[in-house]
Amino acid sequence: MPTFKVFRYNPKTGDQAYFQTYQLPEIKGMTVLEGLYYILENIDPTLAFRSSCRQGVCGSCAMHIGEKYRLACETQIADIGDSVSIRPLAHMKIIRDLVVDLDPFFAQYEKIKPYLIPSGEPPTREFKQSPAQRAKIDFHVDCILCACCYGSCPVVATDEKYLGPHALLKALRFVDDSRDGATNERLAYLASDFGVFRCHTIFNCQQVCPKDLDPTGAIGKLKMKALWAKFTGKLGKNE
Amino acid sequence: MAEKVSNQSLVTWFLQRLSGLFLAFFLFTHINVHHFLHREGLIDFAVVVERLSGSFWWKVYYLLFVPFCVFHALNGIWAILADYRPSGGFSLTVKALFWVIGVAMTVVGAMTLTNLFGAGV
Repeated sequence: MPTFKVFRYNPKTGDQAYFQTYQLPEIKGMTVLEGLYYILENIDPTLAFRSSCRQGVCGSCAMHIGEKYRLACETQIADIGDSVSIRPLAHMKIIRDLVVDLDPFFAQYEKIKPYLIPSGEPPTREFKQSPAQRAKIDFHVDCILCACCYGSCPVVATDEKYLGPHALLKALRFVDDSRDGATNERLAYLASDFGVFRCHTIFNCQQVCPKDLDPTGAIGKLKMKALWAKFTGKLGKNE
Repeated sequence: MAEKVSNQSLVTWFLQRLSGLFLAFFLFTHINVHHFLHREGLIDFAVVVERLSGSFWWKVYYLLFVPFCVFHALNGIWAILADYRPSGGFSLTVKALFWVIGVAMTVVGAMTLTNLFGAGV
């Protein structure tokens, strides 16, 4: 019979945080998210957690399950053992139980300007992009902004100004995009004192990414691109 | 991205890797010289002075070793401190202190070496 030890905390009551244990029925194929819904509907309606799509697309149900940050909807209880502890994402203020305040996470994301900045006038019809040019960004667009990487990053833990692996991975998606014209301006920002060079290449983000993306590798590529732009005198200059 | 940002991290990150590479070379040379090339007797002060008074390249080797080592050490400590996003005042004080320590250690190291260059024993 699966047992969930769920982190409980309500800052409004002022009570200490604690772990509450719940016994669940053994149902073949049950995911952690389904287990949490079972608790909510049958045992404890006060339990708070986020979820939406239930199929690993929206990233809402990211949390620390067992020993790792994962998506609750993509994690089978059978795969992680009978007794599992569930905690909220780290480095963010807890609103209640497993729900955290994602504002700092998205604030860092907005700083990288996650939209195309064309170099000149936009084309009258669509931007043209070859399959090869599109393939360069295929990998990075799959990021669903679940914050697993952000929660697992020790640099984020100590430096609130650090952009974070999610923002830097997405930044490479725009730097590598053939339709974007602000590459060197972007690189100048990413090479700042709170950007790629603060990363210690610890690989936590890569290890936990539920989409098997490689934020560490993306940061490494951005470091090289920023260095090259610096040495060629292009850093910070519009193309 | 319109805001003015400093790229100091880029430069120090690069120099840390560059100095690290040099130190790896120095270490390799040191181990090679001390454990494989020198086979007769113990390495004492006289042997070191003889080496320092000899080839021009040994002088260059040791004179480069000191600043690279000092930079790598102090910059490494600074990188650890920077993880905790120190305040402006603390940051400035530590940087100033590191510059003073760095320059002093390099000068003292260089002076010690140059004294030995023509010493003979």
